[in-house]
Amino acid sequence: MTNSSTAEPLLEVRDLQVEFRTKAGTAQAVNGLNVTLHAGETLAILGESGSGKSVTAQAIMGILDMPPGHIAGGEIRYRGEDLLQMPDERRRRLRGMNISMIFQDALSSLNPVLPVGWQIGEMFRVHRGVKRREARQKAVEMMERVGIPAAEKRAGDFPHQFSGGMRQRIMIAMAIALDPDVLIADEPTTALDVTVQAQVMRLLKQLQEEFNMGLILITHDLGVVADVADKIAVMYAGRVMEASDVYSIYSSAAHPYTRGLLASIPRVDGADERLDAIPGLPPALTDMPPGCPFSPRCAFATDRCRTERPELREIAAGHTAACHYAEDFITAEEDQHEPA
Amino acid sequence: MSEKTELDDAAARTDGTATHPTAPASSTGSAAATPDAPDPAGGSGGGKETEASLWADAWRSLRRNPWFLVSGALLVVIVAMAIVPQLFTSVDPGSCDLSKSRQAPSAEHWFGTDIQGCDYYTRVIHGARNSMIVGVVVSIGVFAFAVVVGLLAGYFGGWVDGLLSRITDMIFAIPYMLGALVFLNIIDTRGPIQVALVLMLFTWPTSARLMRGSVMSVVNSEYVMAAKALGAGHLTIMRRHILPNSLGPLIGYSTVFIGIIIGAEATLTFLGVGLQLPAISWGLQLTDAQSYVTSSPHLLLFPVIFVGVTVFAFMTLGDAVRDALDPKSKR
Amino acid sequence: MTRYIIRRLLQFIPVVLVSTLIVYALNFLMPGDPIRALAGERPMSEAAIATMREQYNLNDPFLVQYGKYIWGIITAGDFGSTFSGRPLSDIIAQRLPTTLMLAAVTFAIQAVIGIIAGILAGLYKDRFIDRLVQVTTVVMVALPTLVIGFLLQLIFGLNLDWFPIAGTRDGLVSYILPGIALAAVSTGMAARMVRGELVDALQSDYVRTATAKGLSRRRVVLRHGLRNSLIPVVTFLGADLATLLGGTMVIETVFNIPGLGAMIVDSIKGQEGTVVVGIVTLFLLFFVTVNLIVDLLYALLDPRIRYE
Repeated sequence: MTNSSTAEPLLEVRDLQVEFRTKAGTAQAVNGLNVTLHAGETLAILGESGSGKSVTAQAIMGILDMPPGHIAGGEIRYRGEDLLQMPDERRRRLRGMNISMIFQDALSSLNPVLPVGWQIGEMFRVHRGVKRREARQKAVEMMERVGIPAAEKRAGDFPHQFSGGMRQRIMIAMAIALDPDVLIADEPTTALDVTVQAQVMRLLKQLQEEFNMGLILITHDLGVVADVADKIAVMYAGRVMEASDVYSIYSSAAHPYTRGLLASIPRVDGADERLDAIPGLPPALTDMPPGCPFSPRCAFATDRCRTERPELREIAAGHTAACHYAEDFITAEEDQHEPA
Repeated sequence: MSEKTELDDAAARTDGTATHPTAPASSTGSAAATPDAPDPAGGSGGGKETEASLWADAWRSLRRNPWFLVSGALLVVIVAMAIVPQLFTSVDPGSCDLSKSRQAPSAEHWFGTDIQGCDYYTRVIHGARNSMIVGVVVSIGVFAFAVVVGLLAGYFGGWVDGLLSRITDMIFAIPYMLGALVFLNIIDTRGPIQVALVLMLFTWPTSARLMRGSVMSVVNSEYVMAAKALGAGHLTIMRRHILPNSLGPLIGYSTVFIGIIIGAEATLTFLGVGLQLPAISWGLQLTDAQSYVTSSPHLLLFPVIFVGVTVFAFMTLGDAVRDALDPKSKR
Repeated sequence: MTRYIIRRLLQFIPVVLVSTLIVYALNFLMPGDPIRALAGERPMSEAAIATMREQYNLNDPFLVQYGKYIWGIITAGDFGSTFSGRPLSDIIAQRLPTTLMLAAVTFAIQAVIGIIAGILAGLYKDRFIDRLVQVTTVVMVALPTLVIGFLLQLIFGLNLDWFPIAGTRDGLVSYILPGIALAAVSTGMAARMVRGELVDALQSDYVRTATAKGLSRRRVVLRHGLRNSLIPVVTFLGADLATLLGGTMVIETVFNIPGLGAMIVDSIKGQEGTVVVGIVTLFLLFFVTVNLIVDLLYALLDPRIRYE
């Protein structure tokens, strides 16, 4: 963490509500989300499939499919200005220039029938009005910057001619081409081989520092988060369950869901330890339980959990959790650390 | 949903007896006590769908499809016309009065009269039967043949597939109208059966290819592998596992195909190589009518409408059935 | 790319040979001895018949006859001659422009109307224009060419008297109704195809990326969505241009147009085998050539094919 938290935040999401209106009913994909991002900071949004983390990213980016998607409330402030109230044209210009995004599957996310250099160069042509030849030159520079060998020669190649890791680098080159303030990375390494994952993450981290970008990392992979994130927000069923700096999450997780996720990571050092999984599945977003959304799967749920929804509240400085018994978990953890 | 399918967090999704290491409350974390919540919106649908529910689903979506309802109703009328034309007209199609040749439609003769002075309404109604015979015979024949060829080629693969596919490709390369035109021309007496046989000869490759494709998509599925591993015979596997799961596309297409064939028969007869007088046929009516198109356009109009409606009804119904049986077309 | 072209050209040759061979074999399905048919009622000496048989290569084995025939077409444009002795190439030269004109009008209708209707339906999915296109194409695709031809003739030719109902005396105007009739089915299919491809493309990941890049909606649709969705339609329309020649048999007969399609029908009825084989061979050569061009065009438009 840097001391930038006192400065004006780059991006501030307040009480974001996103619904999906389908024939089966209205699904609350995101329900009252609050996050803040500062320059040079990395925020990881962690969650399972359907937790609403990708929807959050798309809502910030302004590329949600509407309909069926619908932003029912809240604010997304970029440098103090609410993106949701902004005229479409102005918001469009911010996309790619100030806030940009990379996606999980670079193969399907890059246009298959256009050369990669053309696709990167399009950023300069559209936003900066640069001429074709110069745009190509700048595209090659970007490709070199993200570590693509023989960039000059490969700029005319098509996405399917690159390896998975190289394709994701091309996505990154395109996203950072115009030096944006905020970069949203939606599962940037999930589709890649493990060895390549680390390289791509390292590249992202390095570029973030170089450009002093705010990075939002959407992922389900706790292992990725530990290395790069400054702050973590754990999402479940469209809500933030727990949020804090990365150290607190790993040292003293206060929510049973977070603890469950941590317990489910395989550990190299504990060979004989059981791999614990959280039983059950997340609730249907169209049919939420009245109390805590995690209560049906929570081993510690009480009647209170099943009837009264816990609010996200501060349990320690900079550490929030949405659990009635959050303090008990932290205490229990500390107890266990006492020598017997 | 626009939420991208993320790789399942296997750890969080797998059921297991989870005992959390530190438990402040006294409850024991047992999986059995945890009710499984239903799949969230956008999750996978589970693979328990049975054959019966596929057909039930298809029927349910068909009943709500207006195209199916319209074409189905039209077909009921047309099929009745072909089987019992007497339901629609009590006039004998053979009773004609040459002195009343080519009269315009009137209260007495709804569709007017033809060149021989026959009641044209009666003649057009009676024309349905020959079209229907050719269409249905060809479709059933091709269906049966395509099932056999497709099953053998798709199931056994290898040289069987190679041989059958090459033959299929060769026939496929000949435009069927052209082939039928040349072939029918060398047959002296041509009734519905002759026309049907020649059409079968040149039209089966499309159906056989379709069947082969759907057999091949099933043949490598796990349940077929399992049946093989359990030592089931080829015939049993084909009948029990492959046929029921691969017939869907062909059933839809065969209905469309009846429409295509009825159109082809009318066209060939119109061109002079299909059915011959004294058969009553829409194609023959068109041939006669063409010479009088300016003076008696009604002679052209009525058979054209009947051919059009019949072909339309079969093709639209078949398309609706095909869509309903195709799991991929579900939105 | 060069290797791809060479490979396609090499595949092209056997396809041409096998398909023309099949058509040439059709000649022998024609009833009667061609020489006797030629002689007609007139008595003919055995010597004259033998000379004729020699002239038409009828004494050679089948494959040799075929070889000589194809060689004649390639080297001299010689498609044989009619029973009355008139070279078939003359007839083709006389009738080809008519059929080409019909094909051109048909193709223009398919491409322009089919693609525009498909784009509108895809862009305004589930709106009125989409419903209209969907209903219209269902009807268009489900009616035989013969029926559409006669209906157009009756309504716009006879009843409204906007267009001539037969012949080619009025130039371009004469080709409009036959062109529409011949184009109807494929126009419907092309429109559906463009719609489906465009709807898929607009929901694709790369279009989402294009939106995330901050491109205008217009640029996203035209540069990223539409370009990709038109590729399969190019193939379809190309392949269809070739099969379209089969439809000319029907439509030229319905509208009494003196083209090659009507010539095939007349020759089959008149049992003039050489004419049938000659014209059909020409059609086939056109068919495979167009397919070759379409394949190459496809590779040019879609890099994924090119580099396989």
